[in-house]
Amino acid sequence: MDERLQLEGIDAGYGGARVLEGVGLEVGVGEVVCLLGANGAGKTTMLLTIAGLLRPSAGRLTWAGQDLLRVPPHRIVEQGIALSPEGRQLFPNLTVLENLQLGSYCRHARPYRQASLGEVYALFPRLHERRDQAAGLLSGGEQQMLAIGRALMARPRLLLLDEPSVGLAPRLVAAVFESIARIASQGIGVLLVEQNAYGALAIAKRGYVLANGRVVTAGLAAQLEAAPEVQAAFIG
Amino acid sequence: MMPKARVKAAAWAALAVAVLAAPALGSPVLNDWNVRICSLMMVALSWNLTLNAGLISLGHSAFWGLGSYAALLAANRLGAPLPLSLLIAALAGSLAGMGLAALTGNLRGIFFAISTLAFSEILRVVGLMTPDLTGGAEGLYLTPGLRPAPAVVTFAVALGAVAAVVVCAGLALTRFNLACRAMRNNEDVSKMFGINPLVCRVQCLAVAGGMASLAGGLNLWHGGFLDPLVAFDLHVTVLSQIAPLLGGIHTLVGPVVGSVLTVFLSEGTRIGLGASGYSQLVLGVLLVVCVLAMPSGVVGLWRRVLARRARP
Repeated sequence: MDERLQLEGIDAGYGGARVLEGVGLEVGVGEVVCLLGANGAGKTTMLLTIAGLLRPSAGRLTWAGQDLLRVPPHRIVEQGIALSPEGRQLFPNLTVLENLQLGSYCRHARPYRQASLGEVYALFPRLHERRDQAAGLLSGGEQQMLAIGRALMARPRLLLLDEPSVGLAPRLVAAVFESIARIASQGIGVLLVEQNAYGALAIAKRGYVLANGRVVTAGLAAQLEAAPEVQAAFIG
Repeated sequence: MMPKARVKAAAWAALAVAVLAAPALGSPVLNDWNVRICSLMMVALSWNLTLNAGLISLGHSAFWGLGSYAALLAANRLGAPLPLSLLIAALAGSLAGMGLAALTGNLRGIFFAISTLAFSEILRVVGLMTPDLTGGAEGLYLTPGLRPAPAVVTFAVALGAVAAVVVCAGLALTRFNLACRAMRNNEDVSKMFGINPLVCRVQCLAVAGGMASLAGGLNLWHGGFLDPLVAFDLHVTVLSQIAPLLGGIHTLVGPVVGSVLTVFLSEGTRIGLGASGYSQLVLGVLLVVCVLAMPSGVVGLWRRVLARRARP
């Protein structure tokens, strides 16, 4: 089955407040797709909906042809979708290694734990150096590496990244984007939510621009870079 | 690391042997202290287990009381000997824990705490309203002919405490422990990595409930009398929290050391100041001072001292 994430006509929100209105989106195997938009546009809401933490009130959400709408969050990861959430959301009292071990808690990832650990350490050698430290004591850049590494430990086919570059020094931002490109080159689909539009578009194949809960523009990354909506939203 | 781990294991083993051998001395005072310390240790370890999963229980007297009554009824009505009655007590506690976890669903923090308090109070009131089963306010005695020698009961309580420590030490090495700690740190994110919080809570309260009920059942065989006020006494709930707080929460040694300290402090003030109200007052003040001076318990203080020594 083609591993493709498809959203059609998704309406979602919190309580009475509707955040997403009729949103559609697609991510395929091994492609980086970025989701751009100003604060409050609904980017995080979109990721939480895909991860099953938020139930949409209308629309279709399928992964590899399977309906995800009735799947509880702890089963979504079993389907091969992992989220590195906004603000990293590590387990601060657990060590780096324990955070990573938890990443591979789900049944399908457990047998590969050692192999996955090796891969994550190869991608982020810094995490190996700090493996016995509490996650709460890491620097911002290290925490971001850990958040991405923890999601990779679940051996996802689709990785959802919520603003991985936020709060990082420019040099680290480049390193994080580079590792995302490397992850995608291994055949993992990546849905990347970013404020840093140009950094994201540089590694993405396609992109969507959200504004007020609707997709206002979509297209190839090269086209989006020149699009007036992107210019208006991010350059001013 | 290896020698240090061996020293630790040896210390635990020595402690276990001492606790298990003490009943052989046959001293009634020693037996009484042993029973108090060991039964407190079991509820303290049980409370610490629930706390480890981010669940603050104010209802440990419910498990304690349930275990006491289960053991009492199993013995009096079915003629069950001590081991069988204890098995029934532990099972009753496990089932109650699972039921409580299912009922409270995804309640967290203060909301979970209040519902556990209510659980305990409900059981107490139900106990008072069903005199045919519980003896009501008059209470019930364990059929005298069934009671083994005091040393046997003391040994059973000591064995229970050792078993509780072994269970907790074993659990600390499992995925289940990691899942509990992740849930305590961040429940939503733990879900995203495949942890089902409901299943985790049910498992956690099954173990913790069984452990606390076993302690209650053991205490019944020691005391021999039960009424709903004694069985579901809030004192148990309070002590089950004081001991881990005093020793150091989220550790294995903490509740163990804390239980010994709590009993020493409470007995010390009682003996030193007599049975007057002052002893309770002094005990309360002592506990407040201890918790203020050692926010992470005796274990935390000890670790700080070691760390200070390590860097000159």
